[in-house]
Order: sequence, then C-alpha cells, then structure tokens
Amino acid sequence: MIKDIEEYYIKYGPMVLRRCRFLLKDEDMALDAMQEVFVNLLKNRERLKGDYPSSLLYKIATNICLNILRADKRRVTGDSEAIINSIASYDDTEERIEAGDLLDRIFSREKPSTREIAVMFYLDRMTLDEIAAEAGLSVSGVRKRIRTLRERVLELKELMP
Amino acid sequence: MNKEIISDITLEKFILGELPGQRLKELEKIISSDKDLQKRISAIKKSNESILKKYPPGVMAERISLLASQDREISKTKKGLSLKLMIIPSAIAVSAAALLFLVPVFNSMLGVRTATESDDVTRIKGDETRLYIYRKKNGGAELLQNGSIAKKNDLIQIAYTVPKSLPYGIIVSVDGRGSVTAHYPKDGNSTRLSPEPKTVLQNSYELDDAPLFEKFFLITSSKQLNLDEIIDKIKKRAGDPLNILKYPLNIDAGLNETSITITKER
Repeated sequence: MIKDIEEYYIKYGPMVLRRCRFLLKDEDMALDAMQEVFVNLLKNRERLKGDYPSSLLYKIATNICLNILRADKRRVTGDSEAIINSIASYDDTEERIEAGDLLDRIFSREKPSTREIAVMFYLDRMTLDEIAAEAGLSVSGVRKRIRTLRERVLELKELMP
Repeated sequence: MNKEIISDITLEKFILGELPGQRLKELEKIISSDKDLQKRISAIKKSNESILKKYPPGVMAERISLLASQDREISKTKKGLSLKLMIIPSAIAVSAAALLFLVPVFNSMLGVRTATESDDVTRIKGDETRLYIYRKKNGGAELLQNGSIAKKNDLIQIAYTVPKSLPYGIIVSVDGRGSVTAHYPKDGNSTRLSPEPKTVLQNSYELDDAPLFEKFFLITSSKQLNLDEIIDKIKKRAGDPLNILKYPLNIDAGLNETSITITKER
C-alpha cells in the first residue's frame, strides 16, 4: 500500500500542497492538511473510479482547508474576505467583516456543494462550464446557485450592525 | 475580445494530462501564444520539483500510511466506546457480581489495558530504569502506555526511577515535527538524578499541535552528562522524525536509553 501512496503523492502531492498553502497561508497547517487529503483518499478509494484523481483531490483539499478555517474562526484570512467582498458587491466595503462567522452564516442554510461552487467561482476564477463539470450540474444550475448566494450575502450584510 | 482567465486548477490538470479532449486542445492553442501562461506552467513544474525535494515521497508515504492506520485505530476505539455506552444501561439492571465480570470484558474489547508500569523497562543488574508519562485529568493522573493516544493541550507529567548505578541523566522529547524539548534538567542545572523511586518532575508539559507522535526519552549514565552536546546530537537525528519514531537514539555507546511514545490524536 505504501508504494501506491508514494506514486499518488509524487503525481498529485505538490498540487494538493499548493492548494492547501493557497487557502491556509501557513506552511505547517498546509502540510498537515495535505496529508489529511491523502488519508481521506485512502478511505474513499471507490470514488476514484471513472474520475480524474486531480478533481477529487482538489475537492477534498478545498473542503478540508475550509473546515480548518471554519474551526479556527480567529483566522480572518484575506481569501475569506475576498469571497465575501466579491460576492457582496464590486465596490470595496468600508466595514471590516468577521469572515469566519459570515461564511458560517452564509453557508449554514446552503447545500455543501454551494460552498464548493463559491470557492471555484470567486477564488479559483473557474468558468461556469468548468464549475458545472466539476459540480455535476448544468451551467444554468451553477448560475442559479451563485445568484442565490449573492442575494443571501447582501441580505446578511444589511442585517449587520 | 476579453482574454480568458485560466484558473490554477485548469493549469494543474493540463500539466497532469487530466483535461477532457476538447478542452485540452483549446488550452494547447491558447497556451502556445500566451507567454504569461507559459510562465505559470513553468512555475508549477519548478514548484513540483521543489516540493518533492523538501518533502520526499518515501517519508511522506510512510507518514500518510501511519496517519491512516491511526485513523483506523481511533475509529475502532470510538466504535467500541459507542458499544459500551449502548450496553451500560442494560448492564445496570444486571447484578453487581455480573458487572464485575463484564467490566474487564469491555476493557479487553476496547483494547484498554490496566496500566501500572511503563512498557519500556531496562533492567540492569536487577535494578530498573523506568520512565513514567502521566496525563493530568480531573484532578488526578492517568498513566499512559507506549502508544497511548493523547492530543493538543493535554497536560503531561513526567516521572522516573533510576538505579543507584546510573545517577546521571536527562529527559527529552521529540515530536512529529522534529522539535526537541528538554524536560530535565532545566536551565543549565546538573544532570544529577534523584535516587528516590518515582521522582516526579516539577513542571508539567502541555502538548502542542505537532502531528503523529511525541516520544519521550530518559537517557542515563554513570557519569555527568553534557546536556547541550546531547541535545545537539538529538536535534541532528530529529531532522528525520520518522526515524526517531522507529528506532532508538543510540547517541553514545556509554549511554542507556528508555523511551515512551505517545501517539497524537488529530
């Protein structure tokens, strides 16, 4: 089994680590998260059938890192704010937003896949076609989720002091 | 016409050869005339080399494999605990005598051993060198075994017993990140050990978020030790934490070594 892990790590490890570094902005945390991704992959090997491993690994890495950020609400990272600010408006917001809490409130009523879609669209700058392919939705379905999400963020911003 | 923004994940997949046929052809065409994209691809390839050099595949594969087996052990323990919680309400209706029989059965199902001594004991001429690692808990202390699971913020208390023939020693630990912590002596004091059985160190030690393990060593000698020299040698070895996990330190032929490894829960 170690031989398999080694082969996967050589091919995909650097990609996964870059992803974790981008989201977590901390080398130690990114390294831990990267290892977590491969442990998760070992547990979910059946999901590899028919899929490109890179898509699955990218998804797992994103979710693990977002969960880490969510659990550590003191960390207001630039990327968390980038998601909120991009979603809310195209103008700079004057208020400093507690991104961790706001992300929680935004996504708590949404499907888990909506969070992935938000990251792909606002952080990763993927096209709607690419997101649709990754998420297994139609392009119009992706567009609808993004529109609903943006409306929700605007509602929440109005309620904030 | 607006230039298409190519996401990082798309470029990663392009390099890995994991784009669908049509998209691959589109991208090849775009990249052939876009110097910025060519630079990004080159940077990704350089980053691949750098990461594999910094975190070698053999070491990482072992770590991941160890983490995966820790995960399985923790899941098994949690399943066993759930089973125990299910059974206890019905066990309350059972007589006291039956319960006395059942408790050790539950414990063996969970892999819980009655802990009285450390597993690592070096016997020298009938005397014993022992290292004790306790976890502070609810006003008391729980003796941990080799391989016991602990987590970040757990408070550890260290104690030792040494024979009269080995009056000098140091206590250090190495964690999964390769960090070395000296527990005894502190602040340049003598490496003289107490001859009293189960001498408890003054200060407790809080575990941090280092992954995988923390391995505690009691290194003893018949002669005075140079703490700084030994720490330096351990730090060099600790550059490969998995090596420390698997093998004794073997710092010097004249030194004796006893260790206990605590597994870190994630």
